[in-house]
Amino acid sequence: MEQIFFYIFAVIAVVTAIAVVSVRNPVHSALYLIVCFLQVAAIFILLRSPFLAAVQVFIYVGAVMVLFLFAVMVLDVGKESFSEHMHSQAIPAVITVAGLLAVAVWLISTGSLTAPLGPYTEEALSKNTEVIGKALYTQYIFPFEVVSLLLLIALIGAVVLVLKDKGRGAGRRP
Amino acid sequence: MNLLRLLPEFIMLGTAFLLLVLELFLPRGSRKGYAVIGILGIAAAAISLPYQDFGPALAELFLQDQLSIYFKWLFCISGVLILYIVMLYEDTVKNWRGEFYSLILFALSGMMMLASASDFVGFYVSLEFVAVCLYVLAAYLTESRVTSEAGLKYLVTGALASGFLIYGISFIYGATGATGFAEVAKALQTVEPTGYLVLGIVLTVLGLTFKISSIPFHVWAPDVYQGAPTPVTALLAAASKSAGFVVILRVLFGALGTVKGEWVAFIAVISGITLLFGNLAAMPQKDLKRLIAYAGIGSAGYLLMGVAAASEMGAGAIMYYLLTYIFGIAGTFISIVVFYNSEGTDKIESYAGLYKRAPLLAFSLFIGLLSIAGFPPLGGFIAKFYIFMAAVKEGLWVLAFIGAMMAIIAMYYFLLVIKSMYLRQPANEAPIQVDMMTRGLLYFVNAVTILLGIYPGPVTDWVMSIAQGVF
Repeated sequence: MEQIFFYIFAVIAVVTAIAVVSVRNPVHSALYLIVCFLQVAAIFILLRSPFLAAVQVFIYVGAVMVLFLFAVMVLDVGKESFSEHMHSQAIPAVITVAGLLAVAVWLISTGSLTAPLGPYTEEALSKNTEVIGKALYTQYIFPFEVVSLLLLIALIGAVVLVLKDKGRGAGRRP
Repeated sequence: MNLLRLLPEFIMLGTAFLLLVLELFLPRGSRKGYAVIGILGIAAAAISLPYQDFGPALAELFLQDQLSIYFKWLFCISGVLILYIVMLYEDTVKNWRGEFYSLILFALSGMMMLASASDFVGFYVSLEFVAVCLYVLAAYLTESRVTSEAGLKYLVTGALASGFLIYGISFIYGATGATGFAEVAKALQTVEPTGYLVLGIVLTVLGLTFKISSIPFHVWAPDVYQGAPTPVTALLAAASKSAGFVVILRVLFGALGTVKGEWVAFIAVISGITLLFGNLAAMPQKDLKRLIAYAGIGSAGYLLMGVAAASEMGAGAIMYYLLTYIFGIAGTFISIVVFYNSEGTDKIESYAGLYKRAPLLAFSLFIGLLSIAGFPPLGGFIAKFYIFMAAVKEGLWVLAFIGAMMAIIAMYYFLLVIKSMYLRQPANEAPIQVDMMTRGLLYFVNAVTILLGIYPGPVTDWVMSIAQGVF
């Protein structure tokens, strides 16, 4: 049963992901991406990670994609500007991707998962949010803090790059 | 208290935040002070380095060892030199903002964390932190179309490479069930290397080639090196490349060292193609920064040759190569910036007759470029010699032969530049002024490059002893 659902979600996710890069209208592309993210959220639920699924829906589908759609509509990105570049290299790209996919499939088919499963038991999975929260603030505090720096830099960078200022530098005027 | 092991990073971050806040209070037009504060901050971080004790911190996701200390030294040295280059460079730029200095310090502190990361999660996050800083820096001059284009190209290629990297890491996690480098190495002693692992290694290596600008993610390098502000080019060439290689040493030698049979051939092929492409494509270049970009791709090929040797000696040779490379790049780029301030161009033909106009600049370019090319008796020659020795020792004869051929080609295209500087007549006879500070620094950098070539003993001994611990 679980497997049937997994295949349904996975197939829809892959099909919509291909649609994201192949449709000509950027708004349609963004809508397909939302569908794709929702399928990934569903797969997280199948993997018994409701917290990750909720985060996926809230942050990616909710915040990021709505913002992105908003930007695309406000900026009025025309159909032409996208389509011209997207399809000039289509054939070599398809051949490369198909080749890489074939190699990947071959490697996966020869492999088998022999690694032990992670330390989290079924009981820990039922308290998903608690486990993730604890891990994030104890075991993974270093990456967590670096991510906060990363977001700060992204913010500063965005401001620095778009801020228009006449004359030399900002700062207090003499 | 093992949090003290993060002291150098904390000092760097503190300085970066200080500069960010100072922007609000200091009157405008006093940007040189920022560089001085930044250099002092880096010096303070460097002073704390010898007093570090070795061991893990932060739930064992952060590791201070000899390797990380060595690379932190490299980042401190290149940081000081690059901040000096920024100080020279900012005179010519209109609409300058002080965030430039703090972004450079943020990038350097991220590289320091990268040198110490001992876990795939921490390593990936630090790598992205450095990358975001560099994306902003590369596109910093928003008025210039070339610079904006460079930043965009860097961002798009970087995002694609990150996708490869994280996909590869997920396969390695799937095959071993661990994310820590030490745990992965331990798991691989019992787990049979299967297709998952091979796929993971291949994708991870492909993702990392972006950082070191080698095939197949080399495409950004020429445009970004040419278009980005010159200090950022120096940062990309010197510090960012070192950061890429400390990661490669940690991941390939540290975590995946036990299955080196799976990746040696792959790295050797990448190295060979990178060597051929970088050096052959460098020959027809007309712009000095672009020429250095292609030469930098070639250098990534030599460094990967050391990785393909997969021995302690290869690791030591990489570390020594990066040290000589940083000094070569520093001497070259200080001269480029001084020349650009006076002439407003980076074209190679405009360097004609530089010897008659500014003998010191010509001499610095002479030393810097020849050291990058690996000309005896300069530092770069010893580094290349060790790389070749490591490769031959492991039986990589074909690769060493390609490398030797390409070293000759590298000397050819650099000597063309040098010939036009020394033997041709300048179009404009007016001498180029170089101030005392810059003179002193150029003498120092050239002296170090020469010294690393004629008396490499102490550094190579140190580097080789560090290299004993990489596997």
